[in-house]
Amino acid sequence: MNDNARLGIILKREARGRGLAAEALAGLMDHAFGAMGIHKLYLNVLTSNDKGIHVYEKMGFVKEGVLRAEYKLRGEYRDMVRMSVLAIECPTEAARVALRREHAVRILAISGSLRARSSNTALLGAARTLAPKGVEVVLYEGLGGLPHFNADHDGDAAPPAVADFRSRVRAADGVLISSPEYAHGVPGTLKNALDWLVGGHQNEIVGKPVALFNASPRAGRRLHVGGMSAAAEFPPAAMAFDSEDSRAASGRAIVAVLASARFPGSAF
Amino acid sequence: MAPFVFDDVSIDTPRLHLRPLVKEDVSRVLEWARDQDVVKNFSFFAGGVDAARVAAYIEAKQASPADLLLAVFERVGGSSSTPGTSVSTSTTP
Repeated sequence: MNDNARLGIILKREARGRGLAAEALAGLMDHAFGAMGIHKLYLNVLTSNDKGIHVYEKMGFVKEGVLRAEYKLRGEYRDMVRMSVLAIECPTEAARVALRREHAVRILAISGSLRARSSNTALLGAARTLAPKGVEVVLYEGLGGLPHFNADHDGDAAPPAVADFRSRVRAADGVLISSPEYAHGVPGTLKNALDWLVGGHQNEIVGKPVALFNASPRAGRRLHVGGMSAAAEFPPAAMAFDSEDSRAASGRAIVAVLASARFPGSAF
Repeated sequence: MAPFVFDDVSIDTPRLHLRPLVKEDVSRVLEWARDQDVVKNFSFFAGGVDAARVAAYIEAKQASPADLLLAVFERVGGSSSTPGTSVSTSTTP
C-alpha cells in the first residue's frame, strides 16, 4: 500500500569480502525501484553487525533509528538498526533513470500555425521525437483557444485558457516556437499568445530560454526581428533554416538545440 | 500498486544471477545454513535446520503474494551460472 519493501540478505562464507553482497543489493535495488516501482526499501540489522551496516551504508541506506529489544536471538532480545533507502536516493542505475525522469528539462513547443497539417507543427513533432535523453518536449495545443488579448480581462482572474497557457510556460525550462510567416510577421494567433504572456503578472516568458524554428526557407529572419522579439529575449542560438537546409540538416540542428537544453539554466 | 508477479523474476548483474528460490534448491541452502558463522544472526536457524524445514519455508514464501525469496548464483566463466555458490536474499513487499 505504501510502496515499501523490506529486504534481508544472507551471505555464505565463501562469498564474503568480494563485494558480492553489494552487487546483489544493487541488482535488487534496481529491480525494486525499477520494475516493481518500490518507493522505499528498508531493513533491520543487528546493532552489533558492523560489517552489514557498512555494506548497507555503502549502498545508500541510512539509519532511521534503533529498534530496542526488537529481535529475539538465542533467548536474548537484541537491538536492531532500522535502515532505509528511497528510490530518489538510490545510487543505482534505476534510481538514476528515475532521477533523470524527475528532473528532465521540459520544453514547451508552440506552433504558430493552426493548420491541421502544418509543417511547423510537424517540425515540433520531429523535435519531440529527436529530443535527447533528459529533454522532454511537450506540444502546446491550446493556441487557437486563447481569447483575444484584452488587458481589461487580465489580472488575478485571467481567462482559464490564458491561466493554463501561462502555467505551462511557467513550468517549462524553455520554449520552442515554430511559426510560419504571415505578411512579414508572426500569425495573429501567436502574437496574441505572446501578448498574454507580456501581460502576465509573473512574467512567465521573461528571461526564459526561447528558440525559434521555422519551416519556411524565406521567413525565418523576418520572424526573428518581428513582433516576437518584444516579448521574449532571443539568445544567439535562436535560429531559422535556410533554403539549403535538408531535412537531415534540420534534424541535426534540432538535436543540437535541444541537446544544449540538457542542463537547466543553459541558454539555447 | 498492482500485485507483483514473482514467478519470472530474473535479475542479472555483472557477476551474479538472481532468481526465485525453489524447493529443488534445498540442498544448496543447507550447505550454508549449517554454517553457524553464516546464520548466527538469524533466529530461524538458531535451533538447527533440516531439509523439511527449509522446504516448508520456501513453500510458504512461494505461496505468499507479498514475499519474494531469491537465490543468488555466482557466474562462472562470464555466462553460465553455478547454482548454490553464493548468497540468498529475500524481499517482502
